[in-house]
Amino acid sequence: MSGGNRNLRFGLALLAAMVAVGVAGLVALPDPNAQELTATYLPPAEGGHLLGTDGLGRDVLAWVSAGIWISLFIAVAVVALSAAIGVTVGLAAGYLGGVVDALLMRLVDLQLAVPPLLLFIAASAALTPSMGTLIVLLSAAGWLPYARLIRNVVLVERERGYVAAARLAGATRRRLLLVHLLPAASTTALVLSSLEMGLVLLWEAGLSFLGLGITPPHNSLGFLINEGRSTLAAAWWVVVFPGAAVALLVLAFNLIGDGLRDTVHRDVDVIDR
Amino acid sequence: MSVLEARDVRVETRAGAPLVEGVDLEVDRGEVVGIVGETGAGKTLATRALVGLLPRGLRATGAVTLGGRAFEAGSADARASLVRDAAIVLQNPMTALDPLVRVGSQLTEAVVRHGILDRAAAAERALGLVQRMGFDDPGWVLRLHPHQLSGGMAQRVLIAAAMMARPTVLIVDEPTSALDAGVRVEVLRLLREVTREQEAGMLLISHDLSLVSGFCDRVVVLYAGRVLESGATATVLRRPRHPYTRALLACSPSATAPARTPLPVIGGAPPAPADWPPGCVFEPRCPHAFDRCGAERPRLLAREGVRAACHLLDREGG
Amino acid sequence: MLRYVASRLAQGLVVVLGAIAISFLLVNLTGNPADVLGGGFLPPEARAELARNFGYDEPLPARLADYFAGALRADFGVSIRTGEPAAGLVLDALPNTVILVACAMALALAVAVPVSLLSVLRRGRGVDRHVRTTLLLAGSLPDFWVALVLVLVLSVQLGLLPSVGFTGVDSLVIPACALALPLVPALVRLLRGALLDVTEQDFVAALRGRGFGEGYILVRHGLRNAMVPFITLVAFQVGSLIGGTFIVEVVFGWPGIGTLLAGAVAIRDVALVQATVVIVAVAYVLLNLAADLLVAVIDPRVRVTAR
Repeated sequence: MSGGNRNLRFGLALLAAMVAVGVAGLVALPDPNAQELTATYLPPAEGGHLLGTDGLGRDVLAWVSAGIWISLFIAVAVVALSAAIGVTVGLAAGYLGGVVDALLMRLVDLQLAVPPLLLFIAASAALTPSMGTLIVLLSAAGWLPYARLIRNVVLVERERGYVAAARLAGATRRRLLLVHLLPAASTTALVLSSLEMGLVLLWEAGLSFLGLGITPPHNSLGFLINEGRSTLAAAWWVVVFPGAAVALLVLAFNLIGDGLRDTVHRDVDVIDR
Repeated sequence: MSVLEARDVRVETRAGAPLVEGVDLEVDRGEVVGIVGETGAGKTLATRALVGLLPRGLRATGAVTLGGRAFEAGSADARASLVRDAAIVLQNPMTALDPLVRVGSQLTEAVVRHGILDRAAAAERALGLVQRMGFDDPGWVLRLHPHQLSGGMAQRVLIAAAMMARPTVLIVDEPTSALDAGVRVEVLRLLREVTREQEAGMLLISHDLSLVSGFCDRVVVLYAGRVLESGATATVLRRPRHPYTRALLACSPSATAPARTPLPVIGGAPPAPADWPPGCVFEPRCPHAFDRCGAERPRLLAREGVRAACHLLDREGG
Repeated sequence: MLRYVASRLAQGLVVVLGAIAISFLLVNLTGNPADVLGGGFLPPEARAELARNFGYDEPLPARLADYFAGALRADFGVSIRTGEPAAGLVLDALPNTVILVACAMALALAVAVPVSLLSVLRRGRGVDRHVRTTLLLAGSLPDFWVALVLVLVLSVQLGLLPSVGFTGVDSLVIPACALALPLVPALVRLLRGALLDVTEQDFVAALRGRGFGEGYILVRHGLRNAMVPFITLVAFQVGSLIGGTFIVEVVFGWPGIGTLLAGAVAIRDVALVQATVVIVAVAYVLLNLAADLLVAVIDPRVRVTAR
């Protein structure tokens, strides 16, 4: 289906463009934390600042570029950790069933009732924000969709002929899981991962916006948006550009996920969150 | 006086692969014509083409005359005949009604919506038809929801629905295959009576020869999308001219044969549409095939009241 | 029917118990809430007194039992800011959040239903693809950023609408729109899926056989049938909808649970945080139950079979 292919290519191109901005930041742009108190609130394209400056004279483009790296780093870390935990639990639940499965399903029900964002915000009451705790916190909610998905895939694949054949041929449980069931689950996990990247990016931006996520000296896009809130009327660029960066990153991953789903995977129902 | 006439109906995929070819159909007023054939023979497709209900991606051609109008098979005009002139009754009565809407509303919906009757008249006709279908308390039936009906009840309701617009052609697709044996006879009897009363014609699709023999005036035998034999039921089934029809009859379980008589089967399987042989479609499985059969497609020849597409007829008839 | 409601309530109770457990866990994550409350900066005597006051120096199992007992009575303790019962504060703020969410949902549905119908009627063709791409874009935008952009355009530049607080119907507009925007793609996906499933069913083929057009069938029969799975699925998502509201509330200073929670987190008002988590879970359970009842009203088959 050319539609899916096109989405995939577009998404990848967009992602590459964003990464390019990030790279430019490492190479050619000033330190985002460098304050220039004589050049505060410069509008875009003035004084050599392509996207303007904020209330402390910091270059918005530099911040956005650094923010892209931070966001991507966090998202990749969270998705990797979530996938690792989720796939393992999902395989166990789907294949072994019993208590593990029942427990997993109860947790899934629970997550529906207590939305992750609420949990993150609430947890911040007890935790001191740092990159590490943020990653762990986001993964604590992020692994469930993987587990549920993999469990469903395993339940379906378990009944297929080739699994029974392998079992008859004497394959050990571990071999069955790793060699036969895991590959079947991995394509679905891949599609889910790109969609999860988008979600984690939004979570992180939101939390940073509330001051509960990434804080200086690290440069988070969400944090800058919050900073620009009070001067929205006078200096709109402090809010608009970092937010657009988040949106574009999320869009890129959504396009990739959508494209992957159409080209690689036919079972859309298994993936719908 | 014919109510339906179709000439040279052809159904093909978008790529041009034929699924049904050269099918002629005729139904007279008050007549029941049966279309028989194995699953996949094209019975459903051929009839759907007459009323423009083909699935997406398929095209049809053929000259159809129905309800006094002439149109091309598979066209939007064909589909328009479903409003008044033709009605179609499908296979699974239990799932053919909207589960959320009461039976009565569903019966009157079409005629009211299409402007054929006003609401009051439609309600009255629905009541009358349901009563005709043998229900003692038709008012109660109309107030039911579909899940409250049994299979037999549902099918009778659907027949009533089909007759609401007083169609001249009734297309009935395997009406009893989802029903219990006891109810089958009743439903078929009602179908035939109602067809005769309304002076409509009925096309009955079935894979069940015994059913067809009991209820159809004429029969058309379809195989791999082509008509192999057609004629009066009694004649065709008592003295079939086509080897396929003969084999089909031999394969039907007989109630009178001694127990444990092995059931004959026709060796092989019907060809897929892409693999239709160049000559007679039945040739690969035919015990009487000779060289002409593989090369030339036989045309329908009339012999002693039936028409059959077989070179054997040609050979002996001269 | 009654049996069905009872069983759903029981399931809901399990969920609520789980939420209570989670809320307890959250606060005790890094050890003792006494440390949390004081931010770890309290001198030892003050901390000891705090711990004694709130019962935080009891052993863990006792605290857990106490907490559960209290939570089931809707007693979460008092807010350290105002001294009022935490549950009461949350329940006071809840209606404002509900109003906002309801409006956002209504807006989103008003857009999603026609878009879904269009998408199904014209599936596979150009329009459908454009729609899907647009929806993909809409679902990628952070809602708080959209809120700010809307404020920028509508409030600041054009001076049309207020940007802070719940001051009347016009103050609802921007926050509801901001919330509705990422909601539309999610709703369309669900409804479109449900509609497609319905079009595969036999009775739809039968309806075509009665001479009805695709559009009529979809609107008069397809939509109502699709509502059954749709309502159930949307009810599942209600939790995340409420969660998504929080940040938008903060942006607008909307006097709902989100603002309350943000304030509570800032001063580490433990009781308030816990109360919020549990009450949201209860709201989710009740909403799902309401959805099930709604489905029973629409679908006569459900009334007969008690699951």
